[in-house]
Amino acid sequence: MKITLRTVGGFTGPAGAQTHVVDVDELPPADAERLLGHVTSAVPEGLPRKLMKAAPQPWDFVRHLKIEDGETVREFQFHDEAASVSLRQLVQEIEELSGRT
Amino acid sequence: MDTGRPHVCFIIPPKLLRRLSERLTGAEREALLDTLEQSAHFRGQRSVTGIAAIAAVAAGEKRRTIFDAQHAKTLPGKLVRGEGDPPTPDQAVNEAYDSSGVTYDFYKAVLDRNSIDGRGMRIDSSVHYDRNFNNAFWNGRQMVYGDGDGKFFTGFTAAIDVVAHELTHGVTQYTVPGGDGLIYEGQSGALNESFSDVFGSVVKQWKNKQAAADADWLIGAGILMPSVGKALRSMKSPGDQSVTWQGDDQPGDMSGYQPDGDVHTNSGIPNHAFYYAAAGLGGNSWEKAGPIWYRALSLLKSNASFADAARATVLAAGMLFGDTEKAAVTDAWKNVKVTFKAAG
Repeated sequence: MKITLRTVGGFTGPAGAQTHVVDVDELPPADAERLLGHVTSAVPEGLPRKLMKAAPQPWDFVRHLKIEDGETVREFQFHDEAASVSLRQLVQEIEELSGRT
Repeated sequence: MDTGRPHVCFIIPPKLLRRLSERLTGAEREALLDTLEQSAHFRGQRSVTGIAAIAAVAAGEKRRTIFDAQHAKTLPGKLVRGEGDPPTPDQAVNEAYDSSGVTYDFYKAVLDRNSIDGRGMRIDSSVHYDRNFNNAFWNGRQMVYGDGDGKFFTGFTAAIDVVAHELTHGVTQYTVPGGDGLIYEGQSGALNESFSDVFGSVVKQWKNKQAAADADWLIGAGILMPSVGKALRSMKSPGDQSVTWQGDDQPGDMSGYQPDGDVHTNSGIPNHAFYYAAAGLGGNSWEKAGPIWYRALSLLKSNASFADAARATVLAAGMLFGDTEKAAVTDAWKNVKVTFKAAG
């Protein structure tokens, strides 16, 4: 499974997007297991593709999350303040585990 | 981990949570304060305790405070320079201090506005945010600057228009009636970005004593690595990659409007309108075009469209000047193919 998190906002917008990529298959087993657990709880079946604030502000960066698992690709877009606690924890986990590209 | 404490959704405004916490006692109050701290952390803000201390400072004249985030994401970081303090050995600190000072002076001298909120709000900036952070932003209370990754971007404090851009997000937040500023999505979001670019450029021209005809109208000139490009955006020629960078996709008029486009993309249209207005009005952009756009901010609603902005700027031109200026502003919006019916 490959997980890509792209964060867009601020002065630069898409030009300065921060991208984090995690290839779960390349993680140590304990990290992979923990991350997959986060994915399961943060991205349940039926999760809306967009979770956006009603009145976003300049400090509300937009997260683009892409989960590629074999043939299956799931994509989501959200603001942190409109996301669940588990989704925000997944963001932190991805940021910590990935090298920036 | 389930703490057994109630989960509180962050959609509830922090102000309301803070008020609620004052009515509670014991474990419930602690849980609510924990939530506030966590929410502040996610937004990269200082602790709620720190917020209270900052808010207690009395309003007055120019008051700049620069913090060093020390490459972390917790704000504001370590206090490194206050108002009147001598320069430090850290260039980013001094640039943030100097450029926020020029921006404050511009708003005071040209637009008779006392700081971000019009009431002497302290101007806080944090430099060295995160590592390889290719951005700068206004977080609702302060300005934040990354150092860039050295591959695409260099530091963000070196360009005064970046500093004035971010500070103007605060001005927009406090000026558009209703308290939500210009909602950061769709056309209102593109306008929010555009007003920040407008005053970023006007402050730069004011500092350099440059007439509209002589200005470069570039946003973020010098913050990109030379191999990437010369600037992030051009107000005079949106989307012209020969003067900006290879990924510039800004449209210059409504024929290129992207319905689902990023706010930084569609802002090219109102940016171009401002350029046309300033060029049409002649002289210095801060003498007529700038004050007209500034006056229009308070005539907008938080969900304003490009047409609303066109109407507001034409109205403001009439309020501040006369028919000649109204005509120049009308032509500017026509040039970028924004159709609107003039008010009144």
